[in-house]
Amino acid sequence: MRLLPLFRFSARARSTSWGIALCTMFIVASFSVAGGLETSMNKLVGNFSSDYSLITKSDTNGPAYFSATELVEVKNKTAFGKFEQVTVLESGQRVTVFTIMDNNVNLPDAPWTSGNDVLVGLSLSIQGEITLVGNRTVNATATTHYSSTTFPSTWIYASLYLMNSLTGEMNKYNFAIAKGLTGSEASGLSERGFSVQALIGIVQFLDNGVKEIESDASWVLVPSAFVIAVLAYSFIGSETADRRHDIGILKTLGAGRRRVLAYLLLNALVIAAWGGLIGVALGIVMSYAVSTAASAMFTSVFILETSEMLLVISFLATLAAGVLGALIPAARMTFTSPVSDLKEVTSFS
Amino acid sequence: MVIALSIMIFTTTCSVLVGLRSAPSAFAANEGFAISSSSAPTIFASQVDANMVSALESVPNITGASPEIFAFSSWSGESFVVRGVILEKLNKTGPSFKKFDLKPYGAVPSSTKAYVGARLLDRLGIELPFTMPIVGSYSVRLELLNVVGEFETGTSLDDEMLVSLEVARFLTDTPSGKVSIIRVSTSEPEWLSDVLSPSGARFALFDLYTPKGQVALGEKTTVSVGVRNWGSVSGETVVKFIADGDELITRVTLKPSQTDRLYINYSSTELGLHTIEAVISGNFPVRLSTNITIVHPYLQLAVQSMISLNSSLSMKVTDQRSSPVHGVSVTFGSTTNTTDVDGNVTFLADQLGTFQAVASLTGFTDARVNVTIVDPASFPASFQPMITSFSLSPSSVKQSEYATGLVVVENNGTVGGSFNITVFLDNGGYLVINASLEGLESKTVTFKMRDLAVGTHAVRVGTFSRELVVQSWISDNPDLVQLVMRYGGSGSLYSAGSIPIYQAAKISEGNIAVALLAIGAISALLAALAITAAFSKEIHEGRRRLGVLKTIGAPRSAIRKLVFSQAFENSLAGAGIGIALGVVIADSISKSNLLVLFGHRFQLQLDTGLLILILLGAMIISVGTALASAMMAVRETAITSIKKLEEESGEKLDVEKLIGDD
Repeated sequence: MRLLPLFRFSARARSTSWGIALCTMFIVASFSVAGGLETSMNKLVGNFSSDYSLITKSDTNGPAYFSATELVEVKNKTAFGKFEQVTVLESGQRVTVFTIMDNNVNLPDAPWTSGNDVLVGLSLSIQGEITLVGNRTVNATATTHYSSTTFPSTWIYASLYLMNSLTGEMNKYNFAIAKGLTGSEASGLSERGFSVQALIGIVQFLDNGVKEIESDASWVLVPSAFVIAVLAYSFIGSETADRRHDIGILKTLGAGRRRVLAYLLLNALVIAAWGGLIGVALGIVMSYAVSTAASAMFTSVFILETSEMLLVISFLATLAAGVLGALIPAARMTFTSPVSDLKEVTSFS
Repeated sequence: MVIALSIMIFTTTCSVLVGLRSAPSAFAANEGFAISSSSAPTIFASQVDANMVSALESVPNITGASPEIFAFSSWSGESFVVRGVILEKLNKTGPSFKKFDLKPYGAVPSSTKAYVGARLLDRLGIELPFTMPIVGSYSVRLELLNVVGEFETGTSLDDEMLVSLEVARFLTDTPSGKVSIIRVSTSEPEWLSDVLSPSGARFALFDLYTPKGQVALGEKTTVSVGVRNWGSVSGETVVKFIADGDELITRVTLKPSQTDRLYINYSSTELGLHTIEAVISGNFPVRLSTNITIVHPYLQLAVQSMISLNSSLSMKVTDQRSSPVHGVSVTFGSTTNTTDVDGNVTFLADQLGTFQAVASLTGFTDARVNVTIVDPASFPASFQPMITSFSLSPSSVKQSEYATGLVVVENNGTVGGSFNITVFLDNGGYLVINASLEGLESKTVTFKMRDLAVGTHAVRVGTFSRELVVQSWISDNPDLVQLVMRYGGSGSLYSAGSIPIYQAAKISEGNIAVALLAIGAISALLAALAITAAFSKEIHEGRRRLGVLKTIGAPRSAIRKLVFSQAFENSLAGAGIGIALGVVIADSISKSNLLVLFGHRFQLQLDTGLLILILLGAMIISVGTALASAMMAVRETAITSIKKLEEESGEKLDVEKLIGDD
């Protein structure tokens, strides 16, 4: 099948391509701003390191108990623990009692005790024989204080033996701290209903912040794609108006509707592709120019950064919007009868 | 339709951009004023003195001051801001609660109660009450929150979780006495704005500083004070130092926002407490004062109180400034030696018993310490640590200064080991220090106590208890600006809309403004492009009619006027519909959770300024596109309008070729 000689890279096509290029440039520049923010955020995140992750499982009112076998694939890098909110009978204080079996993780300043002895946080003035009332009631001895940067100074550290007695949950835990959890391990746990949090909150907060910015930036596709579609619509609309007579002849000679539609859309695809390529190139140049100029004008480090994936998305969005915009006039032209096409406009050529 | 859609997109884009521009105000709960530390590299690192709150509350026209600490956390993949507050103060400062529902819950530790904003509760999808393990912001920490209530304010607070100041302090490792920001509400916003943007030169004194609270007789010390012009123009002021009845006048000229520090030397030949004042007069008078105690020079002797027989006994002699003193005669038992340049001297402990070591030098008060020489064989073969003395100096400090504690621990056994020394402050634990001791070893352990609240504190180590007085920096009737400068150090007062959250990415607000303005301008350009393209198509389709008009003698100006008026009319009509639709869509985006920034939902702030901006933009686009259309219409000649030219038609359709092909 030969190509029908319908496409002309006329002045109109050139100006439409430049318009589309402008839109694509806008998309690339906006993505670059988001990319720059991401880089800045990642640099900020790099100031914090989080080897540790908190693993919990929730029921309707808070952390639920789980057995160590449920974390079998990360067992060797995990410390299992329990916490329980109880009342100290003697003082009426509500406190959190906890224990952690730190055999594999080596948490910084993790406390240790045994039997019915408990260690109290520095903010608590509890000493001697005490009674802890939780799900069950147990007697304990507050021997001394513990000092920890990880756990609050308002908690009480107990042995696993005492926590088992207090909670009645044998061989089960309601939190775990893992060291060096990989992304796939974390995903696997999340899929099984566990909540996995970096034990330094700012890491995940900034990480999510970057994702929010990226998600927000994707909205820029809407206005740009709309304008690209309008440009393609106007271009194909004008082209079909000008060349209706020619198209009528082609239909008379046996060109099918599908074939005419395909060639008109191909027409739109070509100008969209041409405009998209120019736009991507201009977008990259503009991003680096603005980045350099802004960094020189202001003392801060502000970068616009483009990524290959975003460039591909920008280009594909341009093509899609161009074809979609051209669809209405192209379809309209396709479905007119050859007779009306030949009658409507008399070719002067 | 194209025009309406284009303007709608332009309106929505502008609204969203302005919303993004004002996103930082979310951290200031969208209203009032906020005091934060401008010297902090990021908003996350902002720290201001919490004691300013009580001082602010005493300033007339200030109706509320809420100290707040920002912690950042996440749960179930949702990131959010955990704001440490004192609920009563937050309630007084605003924003007001439209809803505050407490759910029935059992007994929980009061400091761990948390309240979740209505929008955040939607995002988290939890049922109240809920016990939530929460992690530290910047270091490995863990806390258990009891989320017992839900609130709604209609502001960005609804995207956050409120916890006690203590919990947020623990999660962020914020020192006691510091908070991230202080939000301030006022009954007189205009007054506050005027205070913040004065029309003339205005001066404030801050941080009257003496390096030592205790100075030896005749010893020179430096006294300095900060002076800042917080007005909008340059000016000169007179700073007066008053000490022992004498006045020293210093003139200083400062540009707007410029800060300088003035120094004087001070010495006295009279023992006792001396008060030094720094004063400026005028419409905003300030008087700051500090005390210096003049003491007789004295020696200090550092030596262990117990030592094994036939060991070498080292001593160090320092003066009242803790500087080593050379040439001091030290007598121990019957032997007298002289200190070297480092203040050190050594003896041989060759006799059992308790002996006094005496350090003497002309012009100084002697130092005396008892040392016991013991036979190690008579001590138990175990680790026997004990605290033998505890001192704290100075016993009175200003806020932001620190006191140093010295604890002497001894091992009365012959086996070494390590020992935890717990320092208690007002019956609560303050610090645990681990000391390792060899057999019969004695050690001096030092620690610093800082950022304590104003008042008298009891500090206890072992069986020893000492009193520490922390004095306030505040002078009488402090001015707001003085407070900000004095307490925040480099603290700054911002309106709610200008908290520099973008510092989070180390990006200046100027850059963001440029970027957002550029996006807005390009958005307008794209809207204009779309409308022009639509008009171009219409004109193209009507070119024959225009050609006929030209042929029958219509001048270019008439054609231009005709096309312009029609295009402008259509533009305006489309713009009206587009603006209305754009506002509705922007509002819908605002009400949905589609756009989120740093844990806060994007909020549309459709004020008069923004509406005028959008209307102006739409008008420019309408006029511009109408003009462009008119120019397109008159560009062609009558002939080209009616008859297509060869060059426009391009390649002729070769019918024979097509037939041959098929």
